[in-house]
Amino acid sequence: MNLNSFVMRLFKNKVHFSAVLLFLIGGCNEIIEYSPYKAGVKSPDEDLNIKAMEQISEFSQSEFRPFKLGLVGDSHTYYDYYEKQIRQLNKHDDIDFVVHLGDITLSGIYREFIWFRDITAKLNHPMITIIGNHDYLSNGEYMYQEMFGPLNFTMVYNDCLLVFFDNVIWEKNVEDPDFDWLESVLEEGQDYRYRFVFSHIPPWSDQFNTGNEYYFNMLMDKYNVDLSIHGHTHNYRYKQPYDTGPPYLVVSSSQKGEIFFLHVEEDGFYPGREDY
Amino acid sequence: MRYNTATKHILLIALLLITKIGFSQSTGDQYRQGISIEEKPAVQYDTILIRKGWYIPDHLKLQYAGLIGFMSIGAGYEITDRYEPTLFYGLLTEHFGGSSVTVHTISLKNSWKLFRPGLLGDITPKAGFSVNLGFTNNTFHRLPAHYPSNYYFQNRIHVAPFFGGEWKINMSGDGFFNAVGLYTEMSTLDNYILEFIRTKYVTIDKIWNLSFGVSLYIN
Repeated sequence: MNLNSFVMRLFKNKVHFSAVLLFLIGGCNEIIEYSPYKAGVKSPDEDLNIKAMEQISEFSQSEFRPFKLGLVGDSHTYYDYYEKQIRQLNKHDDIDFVVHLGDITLSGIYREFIWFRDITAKLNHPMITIIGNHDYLSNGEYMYQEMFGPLNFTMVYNDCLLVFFDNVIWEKNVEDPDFDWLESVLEEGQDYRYRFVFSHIPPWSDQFNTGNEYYFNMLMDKYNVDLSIHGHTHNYRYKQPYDTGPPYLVVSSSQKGEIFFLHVEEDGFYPGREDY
Repeated sequence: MRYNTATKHILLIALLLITKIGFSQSTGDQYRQGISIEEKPAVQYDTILIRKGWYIPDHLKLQYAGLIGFMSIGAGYEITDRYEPTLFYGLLTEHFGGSSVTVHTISLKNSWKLFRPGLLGDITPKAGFSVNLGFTNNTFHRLPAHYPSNYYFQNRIHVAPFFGGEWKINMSGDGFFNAVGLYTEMSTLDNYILEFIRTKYVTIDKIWNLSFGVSLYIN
């Protein structure tokens, strides 16, 4: 059978078959999926944190100016609830940007990342996303780095130091968080007006052993961190659990139906909580 | 040594069973011998019959995409007229599908022909499910010891249902292959179905993916 007769036969006999195929290819988003364990994204979905930070830095000032952050976390696969959170955040025009405190997926597989991206794209503010323990599952660790960028990073906004720190332990086969990196960035950041640290797991929670727990708080205390912000436990907390060190804020998971804020003012800062 | 009544009974039954099996075996052998003597050749003496060894599969497949890698190769059997399992190995790398981490997948695809073969001409609708085994950084069948129990559900094995169709073209001649098939399939994953069930956001069109492949049928 030569090529010509092959094509003729395809068009004569299999026209319906081909039409359905073409419809499927054109009609569905992400129709080709190589593996749920794939760690790679198509442009423009790569380095979303880096792009968000570039966008944020355009309206950052060199001296202090009050600002307001939106905070969400642990959206997992609570997609309907997460959509509501995004809609609620869009009602606040005074938010400078939003931070997601990790666990953007349930199993760290490909389409969970794609669905998160699709919902987050509806947000009117830039969003910075940190990695959570669930995002480490399967090849999520690599997919996160393709889609968002490095695991540990810092940003200076309106003369405030914002540290984004990956403190997942068990999913890295019981590897301690990179405290040396955290210490070095905090040491250099002593001259800023405020220092805020964002990490997924609160130090009193399951994955931290006693040594890591006190070491984490010791660093917060030693380098005058003003507030440590977390997710992971799915419930709201705002407390100062240790004799020394900063207050800790834990934001609840998406299905609790609340969004959080961090108001940073001239004379201090305070968290906000809004249910809807 | 004295036996009680129960032990005697058991011994008696055991003896009976042994003798019976012994007899039946010998009669079976005689019977088979009798048959083989009377057997007539089913084919002419000048016909050469080549029986495929069990290790030669009935078909080979080459597949693009479909959750088991950028490209995958497989071999399988036609167990019945309708059921054909195929074992695949799939590969996904940086240059071979654009993933920063290499993914190896082993997949057992259980495929059933939906209609009697030949009913729809050379198009055969098929459906079934694959059992996929993934090897990644953080997949486990049993949770490592440092986790509390039930911290995560196992994520090494995924079940991927599919449906699709194959266009089979018979080839003339006595070559190694007697037919070639072009197939396409829509498949989804257990996790995706779960989210389709429990969220409104994940609609039916968000969970499917498309794959293409070629089947080669061995003569």
